[in-house]
Amino acid sequence: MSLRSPAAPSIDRAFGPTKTLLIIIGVLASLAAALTGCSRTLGTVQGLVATPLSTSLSLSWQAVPYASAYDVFISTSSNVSPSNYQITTATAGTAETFTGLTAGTTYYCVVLATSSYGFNEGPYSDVIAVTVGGSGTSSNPAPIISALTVWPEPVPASTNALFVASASDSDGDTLTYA
Amino acid sequence: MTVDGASLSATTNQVFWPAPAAAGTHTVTVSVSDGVNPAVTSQTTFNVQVQ
Repeated sequence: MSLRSPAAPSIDRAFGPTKTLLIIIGVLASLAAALTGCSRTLGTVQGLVATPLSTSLSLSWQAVPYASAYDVFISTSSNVSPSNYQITTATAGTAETFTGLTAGTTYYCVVLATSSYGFNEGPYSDVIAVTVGGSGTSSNPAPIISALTVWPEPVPASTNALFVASASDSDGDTLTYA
Repeated sequence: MTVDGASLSATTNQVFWPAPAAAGTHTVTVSVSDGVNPAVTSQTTFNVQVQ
C-alpha cells in the first residue's frame, strides 16, 4: 500500500506543454493590455439623435465608457466618415450643434469616441441623415429678448441716452432689430 | 426700437435716444425678428426713467 497521494492533475497534463505555454502567454498579454490600456478600443457611439431646425441641427448621443471626447463629422454626402466630411468638431460632451447650414439640405452625421487615456478610438456610429429646414422639422424658434441696457441710467433730461438690446436665438439665426 | 411708440429707426441692437426735457417714465419697445424667417418676431417692452 502506497502512502503517496495521487498527483493532482496539472495544466501540463490537461493541455500538453506547448498549449500550456500559449495559454500562459495569452494570459500575460491580456494582463498587460488591461494594465496599460494600449490595445483596448473604445465602444461604438450609440443612440445618435439629430434635431433639425431651420438652418441648424443639434446632435446628441450616449456616452461611451472611458471616452474623453467625441469627434463629430457631417457631410452632404451619404458616405460620410472620418476621412470624408465637410464639417467636423471635437467635443467633450455628448451633444453638439451645427449652425449656418443650408435649409432644405440633407446632412449625414457620424460620431466616434476618442480617449486621452490610452484607448484606441472607437468605430464610428451608424450614419444618420437629417434634412435641415425641411418639412417635419421643428418650427423656427423665436428670438428671446433678454435685456435692455440704458446708459446713463436714469437718463438725465435733454441728453442722449444709449439703448443696447440683448437678444439670442436658440438655433443661431441672425437677428434683425426694429 | 421705439420709445412711446415713436420709432428710433434702429436695425441693430444699439441706438441713441434724445431724452426729452421733462422728467418721467418712458416705454421702450424692442422688436427682434429672425433673419431666416422675418415673420418669427419677438417683442418686449422696458421702462426707462428720465430725471
